Amino acid sequence: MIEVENLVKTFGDVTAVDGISFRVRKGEIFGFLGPNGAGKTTTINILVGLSLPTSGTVRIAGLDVTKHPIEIRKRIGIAAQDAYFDHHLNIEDNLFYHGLLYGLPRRELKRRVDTALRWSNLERYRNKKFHQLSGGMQRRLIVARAMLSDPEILLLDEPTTGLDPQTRRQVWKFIKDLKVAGKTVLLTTHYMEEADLLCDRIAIIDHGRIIACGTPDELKKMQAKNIVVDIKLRREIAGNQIERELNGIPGVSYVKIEDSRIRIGVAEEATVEAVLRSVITTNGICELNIVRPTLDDVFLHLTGKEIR
Amino acid sequence: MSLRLIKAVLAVWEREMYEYLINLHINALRLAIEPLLFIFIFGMGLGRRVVIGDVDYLYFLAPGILFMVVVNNSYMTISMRLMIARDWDKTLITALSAPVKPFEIILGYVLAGITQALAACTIFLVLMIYFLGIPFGSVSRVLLLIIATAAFFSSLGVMIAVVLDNPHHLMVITSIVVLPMSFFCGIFIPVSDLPGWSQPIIEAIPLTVAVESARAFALGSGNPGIWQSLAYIMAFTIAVFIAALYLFKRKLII
Ligand SMILES: Nc1ncnc2c1ncn2[C@@H]1O[C@H](COP(=O)(O)OP(=O)(O)OP(=O)(O)O)[C@@H](O)[C@H]1O
Ligand SMILES: [Mg+2]
Repeated sequence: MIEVENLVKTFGDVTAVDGISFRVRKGEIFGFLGPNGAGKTTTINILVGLSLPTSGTVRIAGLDVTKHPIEIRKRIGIAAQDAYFDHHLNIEDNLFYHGLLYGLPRRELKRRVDTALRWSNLERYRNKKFHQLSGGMQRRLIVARAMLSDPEILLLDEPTTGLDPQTRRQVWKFIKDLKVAGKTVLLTTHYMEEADLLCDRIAIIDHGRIIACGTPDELKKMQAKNIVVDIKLRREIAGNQIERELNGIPGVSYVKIEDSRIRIGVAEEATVEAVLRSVITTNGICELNIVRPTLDDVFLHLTGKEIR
Repeated sequence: MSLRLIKAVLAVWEREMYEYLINLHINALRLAIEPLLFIFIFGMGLGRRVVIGDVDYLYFLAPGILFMVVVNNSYMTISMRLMIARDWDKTLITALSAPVKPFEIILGYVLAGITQALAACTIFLVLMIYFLGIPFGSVSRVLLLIIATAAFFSSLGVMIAVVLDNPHHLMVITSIVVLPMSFFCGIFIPVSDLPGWSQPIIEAIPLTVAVESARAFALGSGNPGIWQSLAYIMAFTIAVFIAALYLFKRKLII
């Protein structure tokens, strides 16, 4: 459904997207997982023709995005990261005038606006302005607007960023409904658990490159031979002395320290012993777990840094 | 022209008109009071003492103020609306992610500018003709001049709003470029009273062409050649429209 090949986008001397290739199949939820500035939004903008590629090709439903932007936009609904609504109009009017741009007949459009409001559970707020809604309501409305033209493909740019866990779960339910309705979804996120839970396949993107791509299980399996040692110490760790020490042990792939907790990825069992010895001599251990890698660990291992 | 194109243009136009109508009380205040003030102060107050040629100043002034109404209801509103649509409401980006081309968006805005100018001018003309008994000659020809001039100034509004990044800059440009235009382009004083060297430049500005043609109709002085004037203004309009389109694409599709 979406085919991207060797896509490059530069802004002056900044390379936002650095030669990425991926395919999104019909009916799947494809996740773009990456930290701030990874190039997620830039890629999405290129997919809808809001931004022109520096090089590479993008085809959607077989059509080249630079040659047929209008045909492509008829098939795409986009929920932009910084999506806006017109502050002077209430949300119902906003939806109506957005739908009008798609050339929908008025009666049909009115019906769809009603459906969108019902579906996003905002019927009671139809006369309110966008900025009078809560963050979660706004997000639902933005996705509902993207659905208005009944597109085959939905691009959701960080649909849950900044939401509380409960509201996030609501939006997740919402996105799962899209899949049930047969839509192809490309979504971007910073959240590992979100990608893990929602996506059929994930591309991990950093510095404009895809550094891994696969189903959540495949990605975790890539790390299966890795062992993650999760230690809680008696007291907080002072400075990064311990971090340097641990990184110096051969076989340690990454170290992440958070207050009195250390998470260490190691490549083989023999290293575990060295790691433990090093930690015990300097700090007392009060809790120890050896765990299966999560997507967080995959990301840490691949990029050497944390996603958030 | 495809059906989709027409629908897209009308969708942009309709949305603008809808916003215009829900704020009609504000628009009406701003847009009706200002020209009427000029008519009362300059035309009926000061103007009683002034005669230009052998014409009452009020009769001289009214066709000029008519085009001030055009500028206020095309350039002023459209440039402001476009800047809001780009920077505040992001309506432009939202529209561009729908199957709509930049050309269609700009045309929708220009049509909205023309409609708004026509509405304001109609009210102004009715007040002038029926209440003050000021002659305007052939109203249908004046309306054609209004449409062409509004098209020019709406396109100019789009172009300037797209180029500038900041509403303050827009206000500055408006007060140093557009306001002086209304003073020099024959609205308040005949161009022939200006310094000789400036006259050819002023005469070349579409606004002057429109004002002088309309005034010639109103005062029945000579045949201004309506089709030449219209063609001249439209040529400028097309040039500015194309420039606006080019700049719009360059600025918004990055
Ligand atoms: N219009 C622009 N002009 C210049 N640089 C830009 C522009 N848009 C994006 N960039 C740069 O491109 C890089 C990628 O940005 P992008 O917005 O695609 O990241 P992202 O993955 O969406 O990040 P986030 O998670 O913060 O939304 C960044 O370094 C950014 O500074
Ligand atoms: Mg982004």
